[in-house]
Amino acid sequence: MTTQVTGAERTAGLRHELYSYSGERQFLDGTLSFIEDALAADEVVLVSVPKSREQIIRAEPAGSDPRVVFMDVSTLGRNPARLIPAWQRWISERAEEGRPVRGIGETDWRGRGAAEIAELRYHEWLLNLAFTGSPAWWLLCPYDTDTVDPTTMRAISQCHPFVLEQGVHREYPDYVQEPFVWDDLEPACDPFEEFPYRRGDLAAVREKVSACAVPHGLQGERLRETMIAVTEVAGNSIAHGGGHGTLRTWVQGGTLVCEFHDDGVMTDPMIGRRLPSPRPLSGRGMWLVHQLCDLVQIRSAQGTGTTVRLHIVIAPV
Amino acid sequence: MRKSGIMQTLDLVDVGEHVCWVVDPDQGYTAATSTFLADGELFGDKVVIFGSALEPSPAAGTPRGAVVVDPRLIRGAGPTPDMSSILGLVRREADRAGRQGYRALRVLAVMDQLVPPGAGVDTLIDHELRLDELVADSAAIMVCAYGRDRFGAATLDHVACVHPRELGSEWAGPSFRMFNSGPDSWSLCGVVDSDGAAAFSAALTAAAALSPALRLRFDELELMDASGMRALVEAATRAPVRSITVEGANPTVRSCWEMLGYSTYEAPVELTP
Repeated sequence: MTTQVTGAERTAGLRHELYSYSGERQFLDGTLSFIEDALAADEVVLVSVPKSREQIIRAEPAGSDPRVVFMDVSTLGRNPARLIPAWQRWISERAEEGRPVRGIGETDWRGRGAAEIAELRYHEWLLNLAFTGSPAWWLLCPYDTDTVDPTTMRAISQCHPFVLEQGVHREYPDYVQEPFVWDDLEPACDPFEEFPYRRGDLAAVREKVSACAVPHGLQGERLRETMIAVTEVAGNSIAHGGGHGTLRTWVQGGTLVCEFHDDGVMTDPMIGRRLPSPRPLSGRGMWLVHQLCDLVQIRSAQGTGTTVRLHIVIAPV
Repeated sequence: MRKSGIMQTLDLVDVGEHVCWVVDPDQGYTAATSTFLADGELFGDKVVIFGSALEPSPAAGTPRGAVVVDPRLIRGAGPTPDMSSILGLVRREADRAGRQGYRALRVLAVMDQLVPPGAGVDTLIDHELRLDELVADSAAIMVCAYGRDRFGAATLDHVACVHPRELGSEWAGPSFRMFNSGPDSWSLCGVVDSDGAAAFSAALTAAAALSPALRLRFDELELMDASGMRALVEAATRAPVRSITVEGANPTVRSCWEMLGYSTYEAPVELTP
């Protein structure tokens, strides 16, 4: 089965396309036609979908073609900030082989809270920005309308310049090309601990976070990783955020949340989401934070400063 | 393995220990050091005092037989700070003490008088690391007394990083310590973060000047953040370093090293478990 393509020609960068479906049959209809079109053009297809979806693609003849490569994103953890660099690495590796590349990327939405959903929406918006200037590639984003609530679905749809609907790939009229509008952060969970910090206080910041987390069971390597992450963010406040900041910590639903607020502004929407390049050696702290935390929320603007919330799952609910 | 960390008094100081002592203005040297110096006689150590700061009553505080070295002889009159003369004197006195039958050389260095004006923190770190290597390799005890009102807080914090031991009771000490642990080998303990990265960088530079093939023991290092790892990579790419081998790093340090992309970076640093 082949599908009809309209809209911009693929010259460079990402063709970011929405495919909303309901049920396995529709999932297969859209993804298999996409794969078959790619194989007909001798393109490589990278498939990154939840395990259950991967199995049904693999069971199809097209799914066993060696040009269809399955990627296990479960190893990346739940933080959607790790997806763009993973795609960047995979795309650049394939592009070096000289073949055009397509991708199918579906995130497992089950059990996602409001904070995670907001970050997933941002991830979809950021994809359009992240691959400007990359080799041409085409990403199909299947969304299960039975899993994602309609309001979220509408917001996510608006991040896709293209859509696959009824077998036709075309430009998406609902796409909104404008700066991302964040939802407000959820209020800090009461009771929370608050600690103002400045230069020389990094050890005290770690002590405060540890005092909040350890009684809830955070220990060992995960505790050390958390200490690294909070050190990086508090260090950023001191170096770039006016020399001081305020830490708030609480545990909510089995997750440790560490919130840092300072007077600085983070202007780079991709901060911490680019693969470290050989040079410069600086500017890798937020990358590390994204790798170590289950979720990172950043809200930054002139006038209001920067708030960074780190989520570390202690006991999955 | 050498002991590291805070000690409450100098009474239990042992051979091979190198102690940083930050002296408060109202504390005075005599009271705190009288037992340390008197213990020299008790243990059969040769006592050397670099500086003449046992005031206001130096005669009462200086044990019989102690060698008191005039700071002017060490410091010199040149415009460039030269700390190497202290090192040379300690080495000579340690050798002499051994030949004279003493158990060890017991040194109090009054840094307020020994450090020339204009000596930067990097110079002090370099000096202390060289001294630490000497103390670790000799039958010597070294106490470096830094007046709090003579040196700034940041300098004192950095200098404390390159002493395995520290005299104090009210503060937790610097975030990390780096000290000699054998030929060409240096141990780190604590946490290297952005508060200590500059001191770590200076310590690596100083250690590299002593041995271009550095071996770092991370067994007691709890954490190292991105700024610390960057300092490590930068040190490895600077002359005269030929290689840096890191041993005993915990899984968190190793995984962060990987995440930051340094395991494939073109720098002669190798992390081993």
